[in-house]
Amino acid sequence: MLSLRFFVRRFSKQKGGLLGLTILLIFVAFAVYPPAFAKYDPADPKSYFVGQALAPPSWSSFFQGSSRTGFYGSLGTDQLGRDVFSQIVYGTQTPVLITFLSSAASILIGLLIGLLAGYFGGRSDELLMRTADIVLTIPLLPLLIILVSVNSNYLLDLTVLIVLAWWAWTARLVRSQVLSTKERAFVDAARVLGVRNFTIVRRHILPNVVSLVFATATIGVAYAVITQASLSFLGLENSARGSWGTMLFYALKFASFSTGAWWLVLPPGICLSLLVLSVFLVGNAIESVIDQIGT
Amino acid sequence: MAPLLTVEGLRTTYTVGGREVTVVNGVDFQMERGKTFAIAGESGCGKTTLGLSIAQLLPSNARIRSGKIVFDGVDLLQMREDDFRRRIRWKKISMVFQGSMSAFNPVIRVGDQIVEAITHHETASKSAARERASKLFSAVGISENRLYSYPHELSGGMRERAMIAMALASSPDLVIADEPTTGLDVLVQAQIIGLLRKLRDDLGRSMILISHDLSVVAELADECAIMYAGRIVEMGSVRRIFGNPLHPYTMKLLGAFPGARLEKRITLVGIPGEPPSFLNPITGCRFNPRCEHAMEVCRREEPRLVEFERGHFVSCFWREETSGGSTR
Amino acid sequence: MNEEVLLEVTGLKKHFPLERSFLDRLRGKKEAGSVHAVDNVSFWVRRGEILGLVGESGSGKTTTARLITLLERPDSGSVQFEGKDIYGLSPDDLKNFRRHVQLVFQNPYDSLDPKFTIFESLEEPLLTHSVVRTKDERREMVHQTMKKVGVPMEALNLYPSKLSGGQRQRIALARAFALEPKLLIADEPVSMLDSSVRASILNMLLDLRAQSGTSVILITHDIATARHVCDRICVMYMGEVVEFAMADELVTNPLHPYTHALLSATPRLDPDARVTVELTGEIGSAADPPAACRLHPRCPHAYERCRVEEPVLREILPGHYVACHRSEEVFFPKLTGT
Repeated sequence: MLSLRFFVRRFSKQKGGLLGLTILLIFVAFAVYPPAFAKYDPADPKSYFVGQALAPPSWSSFFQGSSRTGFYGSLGTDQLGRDVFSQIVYGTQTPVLITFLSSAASILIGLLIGLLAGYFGGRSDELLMRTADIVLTIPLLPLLIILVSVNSNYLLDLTVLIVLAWWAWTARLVRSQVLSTKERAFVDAARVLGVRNFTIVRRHILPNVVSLVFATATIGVAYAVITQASLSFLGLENSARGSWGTMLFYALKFASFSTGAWWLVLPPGICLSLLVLSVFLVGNAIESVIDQIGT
Repeated sequence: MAPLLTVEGLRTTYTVGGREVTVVNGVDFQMERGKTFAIAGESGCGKTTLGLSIAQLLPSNARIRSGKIVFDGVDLLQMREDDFRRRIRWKKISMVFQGSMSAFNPVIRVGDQIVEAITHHETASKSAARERASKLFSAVGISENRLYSYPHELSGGMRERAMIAMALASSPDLVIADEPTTGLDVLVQAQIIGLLRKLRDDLGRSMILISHDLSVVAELADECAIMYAGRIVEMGSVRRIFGNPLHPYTMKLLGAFPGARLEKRITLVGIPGEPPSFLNPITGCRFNPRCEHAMEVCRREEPRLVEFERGHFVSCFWREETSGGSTR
Repeated sequence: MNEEVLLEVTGLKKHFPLERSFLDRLRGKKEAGSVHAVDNVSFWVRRGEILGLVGESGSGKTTTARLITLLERPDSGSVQFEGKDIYGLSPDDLKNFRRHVQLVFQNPYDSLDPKFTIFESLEEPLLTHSVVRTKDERREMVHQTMKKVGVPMEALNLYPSKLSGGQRQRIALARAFALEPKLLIADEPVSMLDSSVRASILNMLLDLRAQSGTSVILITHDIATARHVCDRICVMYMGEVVEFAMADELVTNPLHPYTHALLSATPRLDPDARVTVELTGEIGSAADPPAACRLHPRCPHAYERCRVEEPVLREILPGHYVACHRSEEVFFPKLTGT
C-alpha cells in the first residue's frame, strides 16, 4: 500500500518530477504573494513609466541602481512603460489557480464517478456514462466565450466549465480500467473473504486505477491552462491585473510582432509552456511512482 | 542409416535487458528417421528455444552462439538464410506451434491460409493447392467444408488439426511440434495424440515433440531427452527412461506425476525448491539445490552427459559414483 | 471420517443470458438464448472430506464454485451450508459464512493484489474478520501461517511480482487457510504450475486438511489428480453431474460412458499404455445443448431413449450415483465378469 514516506522516497528519485515540482513551486510562490517578487503591480497606475515604454530587456537598473529598483526592465517594458517581469509575476495567479482547481476537481469527480459506475455497474453506470457522453459532445470553447462575455464572474465560470468537460474524460477512463480490474481474481478473492464493497473499492480497485487518473489529469490541466490563456488572448478577460494570455493579447494589439518587441511575446509564451510542462512532469512522476508499487 | 538430425554442442542465448543469458547450454542429440523424439522439461528449461533453434525461427534477441545442427547431412548453421528459407523451412522442416489460436490469421479463412502457404512455397496452381488442402484436412480428420471457416469458428481441437495439416502440406521430412496438446481437454488431447501417432506409424513421419507433459511423451515418443535449466540431463528410449530413470530429477518428476497408475491411490511427492531461472544460473550441476543426493562435487562442477547403459545417457555425478563410475 | 454433511447442493441451475446483437434488436428478436452453465447440479460434501469436481472446460465446474461462494446467484436450486440455505442468510450469518468458506483461484498471478505486499495480503483476512485485535497479534499469526506453507519470511515485505508461481499459490492457500475455514474450494489450483511444484501444492492441501479438518472441493480437469487427492469424485459434463462416487469406486468401476471415456483418454506414464478415444467429436456449445441426455450425440451406447428422456442422477450401487439410462446394460456384464 502507498504510504507517504514511500511516496516521498520514490518521488525524490524522479528527476523529471523534481524539476517539474521546482518550476511549479516557483509559480505557486509567484501566485501566492506576488509583491515579494515584483515591485510594479501592473494594476497600479504608479507602475506606468511612459518614458521607458517598449524598452528591450536590460539589467542596467539592477546594476546601476537607477530610480526604479528591483528587476525593473529585466524582461523589458511594454508600450505603457510597465515592467514585463512584474506583469509575468502578477499574471501567474489566474493560470495557477485554474491549474489547481481544475485538476483537483476533475480528479476527484472523475475518479469518484468512474469508480462508482465501473464497480457497481447497472443503472447508475448507464446514467453516469450517458451523462458523460453528452458532456463530451458540448463544444466547449464557443460555450465559454458566450458565458464569459455575459457574466463577469469569469474565473469561477471557467473552472466550473473546464471541470464539467474534463470529469467526463477521467470518469470514462477510470470506469474502463475499473471494469477490467474488477474482473481480476484478487477482487473476487476479497469478495469471498467478506471484505465490504466500499473497502474493496478503496483498498483493491483504487490503487490499481489511480495512476491512470494522474495521466489524464495532466492532459486536463494542460487543456485548462491553454483554454484560459486562449480566452484572455481573445480579450475576454476582465480582471484588471490580467494574466499571461492578456499580455499576449496586448502584444498582438500593439503589433509587437511587426515592431520587433519580442520581449512582449516570449516571456508569457514561455511561462505558459513551462507551467504546462511542469504539470506534465509532476503528473508523470506521480504516475510512475504509483505504477512502481508492486513491481 | 545416417541419422536425420544431429545436434552438437548447441548454445543459444537471449539478450534480456542488456544482459546475455544462456538458454540452451551445450545440447547434443541425434534422431533417426521415422521416429518421434521428445524434448521434455518444465517451463523455462529451454525446450522451446531448442526447437526454435532447429527450425531457425528464433526471435530477434536470440543468437546461436556455437554448435552444429546437421540435418540430412547439411549443417543448417552454415547455410545462408535465404537458402534455408527457400529449401528447408516448411518444405523439409515444419513446425506446429503452441497456441493454435494465434498461429492463424484471424480474418482469413483457414483453407485460404493453407492454399497461400502451398502456392507461396511451391509452383502449384491455386486449384491444385486447394485440392491438396482438402486432402490434408480429411487426413487429419476435419471435414473438407471446414476449409471455408475462419479460425475462430473452429474448436480448439479442430484448430490444432488444421495446424497439423498446414505443417504437413509440404510433406516435410521433420515436423517439430511444440506442446501440440497443451490447453486441450483430455478427450480432445487423446484424439490429437491418436492423430500424431497415426502420422508416425502410417506415414513414417519424423517428429520432434516438445512437451512439459510426461504422460504425453510416454504416449507418443520413441526416444526422449529430459531437459533442466538449458541442458539435457537424461536421454534414451522412452521405455528406459520411464522404466528405469537414472537422473534424480527424472525420478522425482515421475514421482510427482499423477498419471502413473489410476487403479491405486498413490502419494505424490513434490520436488522441493523452485524451478531454476536463467537470470541467476547455478554453479555446478543445475539441479543440486533441489537434489537430495547432492554431493560436494555437484556444487563445484558440471556433470557431463555420459552413456550409462547402451543408448541411455545421464549427466549425474551421484549416479556415476553409486554405480562405480561410468561405463565409458 | 465424520459422516456429517457440511454442504449440500440441490438442483443448482445458472443460465447466463446471451447479449442480443444489434441486428437482432432491430429485427425485434426478444430472446437471444442463454448459456447453460450449470443445470440441475446436486452433490454434497461431508466434513473433513475432499471432493473432486472433475470435468472438461465448459462443464460448469467453475460456475458451480462461484455459486457456492456467492459470487453469482443461481436461477434456482439451493445450497445448504451447515443446514442453512446460503442464498437467504442474515447479515450476521453471511459474515460467518464468509469466514468459513474460502476459494483459491487457478491463476496465482492474478489472485493476489499486485499492490499488496505478501504481509498485507495475509493480514487482510484477519483484519476483515477482526480475529485478533492488535497489530502484533496479527503479525504473529501471519508468521505462523508463513511457516506452515513453507515460504521464507523475507517474502513478507515483497510484492507478488517477485515470487514464483508456486510461491504465490502457497501464499494464496495460506490466505485462504488463515481463518481455518470449514470449507475450502480450490479451482484448478495447480493447472498453471510446473509439474515439479504441483505435487507439493497438492500435498500442502492434504496437510492443511489434516491439521484443521477442513473440507475441500478440488476442481480439476485432470481425473488422475483427483484420483490421488480426493476421497470422492463428482464428474460433470455440460453443466450436469453425470457420476458421483467414492474416488476408488469411480476410477476402478466407472458406470457412465463419459467417465469411462475420460479415464481411457487420460495418458499414463507407461510407454506401453495407450489412450483410446471412446467419444466422437467435441463438447458442444453450452448455448445450445443437446436435448435429453447431453452426451447422446457423442455416446457409442446411445439409443432412442437417450434422445428423448433426460436421465436423472440415481443411486445405482450404494453410494454410487449415475445419470445414464444404460449403465447396467453397458457396464454390469463387465462387473460380473460375463
